[in-house]
Amino acid sequence: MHIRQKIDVTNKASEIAYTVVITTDWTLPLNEHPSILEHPDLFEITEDEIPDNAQFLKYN
Amino acid sequence: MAKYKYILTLIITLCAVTTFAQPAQYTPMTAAGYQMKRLKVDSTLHLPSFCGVPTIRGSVAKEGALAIDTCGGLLYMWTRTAGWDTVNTSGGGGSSTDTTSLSNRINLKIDSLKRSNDSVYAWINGTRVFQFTDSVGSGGGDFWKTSDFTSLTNNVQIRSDNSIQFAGIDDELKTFAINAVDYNFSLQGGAYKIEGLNSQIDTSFYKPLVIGTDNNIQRFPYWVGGGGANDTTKVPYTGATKDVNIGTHDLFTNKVYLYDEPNDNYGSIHYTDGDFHVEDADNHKLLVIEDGFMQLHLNDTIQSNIFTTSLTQTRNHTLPNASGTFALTSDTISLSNRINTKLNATDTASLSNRINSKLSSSDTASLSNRINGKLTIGDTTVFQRKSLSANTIMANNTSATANATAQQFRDTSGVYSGTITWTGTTAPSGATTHTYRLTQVGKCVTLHIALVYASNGAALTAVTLTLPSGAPTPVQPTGLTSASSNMYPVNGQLASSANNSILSAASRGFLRNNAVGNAFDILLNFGSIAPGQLGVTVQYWTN
Repeated sequence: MHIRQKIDVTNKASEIAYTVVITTDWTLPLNEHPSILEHPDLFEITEDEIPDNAQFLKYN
Repeated sequence: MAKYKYILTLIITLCAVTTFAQPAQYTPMTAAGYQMKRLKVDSTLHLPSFCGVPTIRGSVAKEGALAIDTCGGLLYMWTRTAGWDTVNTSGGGGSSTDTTSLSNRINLKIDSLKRSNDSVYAWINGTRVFQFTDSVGSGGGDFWKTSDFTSLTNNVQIRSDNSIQFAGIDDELKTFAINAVDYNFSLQGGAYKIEGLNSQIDTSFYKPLVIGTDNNIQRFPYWVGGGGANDTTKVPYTGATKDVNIGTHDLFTNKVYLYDEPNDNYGSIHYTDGDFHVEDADNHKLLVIEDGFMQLHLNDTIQSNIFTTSLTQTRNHTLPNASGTFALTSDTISLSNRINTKLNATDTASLSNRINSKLSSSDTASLSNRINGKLTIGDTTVFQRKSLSANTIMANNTSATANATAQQFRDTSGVYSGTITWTGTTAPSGATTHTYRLTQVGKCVTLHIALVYASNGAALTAVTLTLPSGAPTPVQPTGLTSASSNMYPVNGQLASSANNSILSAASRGFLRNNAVGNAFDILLNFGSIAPGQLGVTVQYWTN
C-alpha cells in the first residue's frame, strides 16, 4: 500500500509518470498523511504494485 | 915358401883370366858331319842359324831338323811332311803370353760347334761350352754384317738396322713364311696387301673403312687377308687406341643406317644438300638441322610430348597444341636465380632465409606466423592498428612524443530510466520523454539528462536524479567522500511544459554522494516553481 499522485487510470502506459509519495518515515496511517489530508484531489492510497519507472515525491 | 905360394896363385889366376878372355875355338871339319849315338853338351848347343826361313842342303834327308831364324827370332823345325815350320810364335825370345804347354793347347782347341735351341755351344775336349745365342731379335751373335746389309739371297737382305729388305719389284714382292705359311706383299690400288699364297679372292660386298693420312675416313678396297672371317663389327682405324664399334650398322649411299635388331627395322642418319636428317624406319623426319635451325619433328597425330630423363626420373612434358614461342626459350636461369634477381638478392640462401632477410625477421616460423607476429597486440613499434578495444580511443597522454595508447572513450544515449525524486507539492505528470546522453573522453565524463513531462508539477523546490545505468563511476575529490558531499557542479534549467517558457527561479546543484553515501545522484535546488521540463548537464571525472 502506498500513496500515489493520481493519474488517469485509463492511461497507464509506461511512459506515463507514476509518482509515489515517500512515506518512509511516516509512522501514522497513510490516510493521515498530509498529502492525503491537504490534497485529496491529487493523491490517493492504493495497493497497486509500484512500477519500476516510478518517480518519487517528498511531499512538503 | 909363402912367397912362392903367392906367386903360384897369381900365375894360375892370370892363366884363368887369359883363358876366358879368348873367343871360343871349335875344331873345323870338312866331312858332311858326325853321326853319333848320343850328344851331351855341357855348355852351349848351337843350332844352325839363318836370317829368315832356314834351308837344308840335300833335301833328301829324312831326319827332322831344327834351325833358328835369328833375324825373325823364330825357332823352326823341319819335317818331311811340312818342311820348315815355326815352333814358337812371332816375337821371339819366349816373350809370348802363350806359355801353355803344347798338350794343353791341343786340349783347348775347339773340336766342334753345335746348336741347341737358340744357343750355340763349342765342344772342347769333351766339354760343352756356351758361345752365343742365335735367336731372332736378340742376335747376340755377329754372323751378319753390322754395317751395310747382308744378303741372304739375291733378293733378300738383312740390313744393319736388323730389318729385312726385299729387293723384288714393287708390285710383286717376295714371298716370306710365318709358321710355315707363305705370304707375300703385293701393291694393289696404291696400298700394300699382305696375301697368303693360298688366300681367296676378296669378293665381299662390304669393305672396311680406314682413317687415311688426311684424317678422313676412306673406304678400303680390300679386307686384310689372313686369319678367320672378316671382323664386321669394327671399323678399322689406324692409330686407334680403342675399338670404334657402332654395333650392327650399315652404310649405304649417303646414309648411315642404324639397325634395330629386336624390331627388325632401320633408322638412318644422313646429310643431304646441306641438311642433316635423322629419320625413323618409315622415313619420317625426327630431327632436321637446316639452315642453322634445328627442327624437332614430333608425332603430328596427337599432341606432342617431350620426354626428359634423369638418372632417377622420367618426365613427360606436353607441348602446346598450337604454334607459339616457348616462354623459356632464352631463359636458362634457374628458378632460384630468377627469384634472387627479382629480390635483388646476392645470397644463395633458401627462399625462407631470403624472406626472413627481406622482413628483417630473425624468427624461422612460417610466413603466416611471422605476419601474425608483426600484428600482435604487444607490437606497437611498427604501425597503428585499425582495430581498437571497446570504448577506447588512441591518444598520447604523456608530455612527450610517444606511441598512442588506448584511452577510454564513450558516446552513448538512450531513455533515462534512473530514479527521479521531486521535492514539493506536486510532481510533474503525464506522458514522459526522459532521455540522457553521455560522452566520455579519457577520464572526463559529460552527462546530460532531459526530463520532459506532459504536465507541470506544482510548488517544487528540488529534484534528485540517479546516474543513468552504465555511467562511469565518479572519482571522489579529496575531502568530498562522505555522504551528501557535493563533488561536481551541475547546470540545471527548468521550463514549463505548457508554453516552453524558461522558469526564472534560480537553480543550483551538484553531483554528489547520496544521502547515505553508497551511491551518487544529482541534486538540483531551485525556488518554488511548477516545472514540466528539466535539463541537467554535469561534467565529472572518473578513474
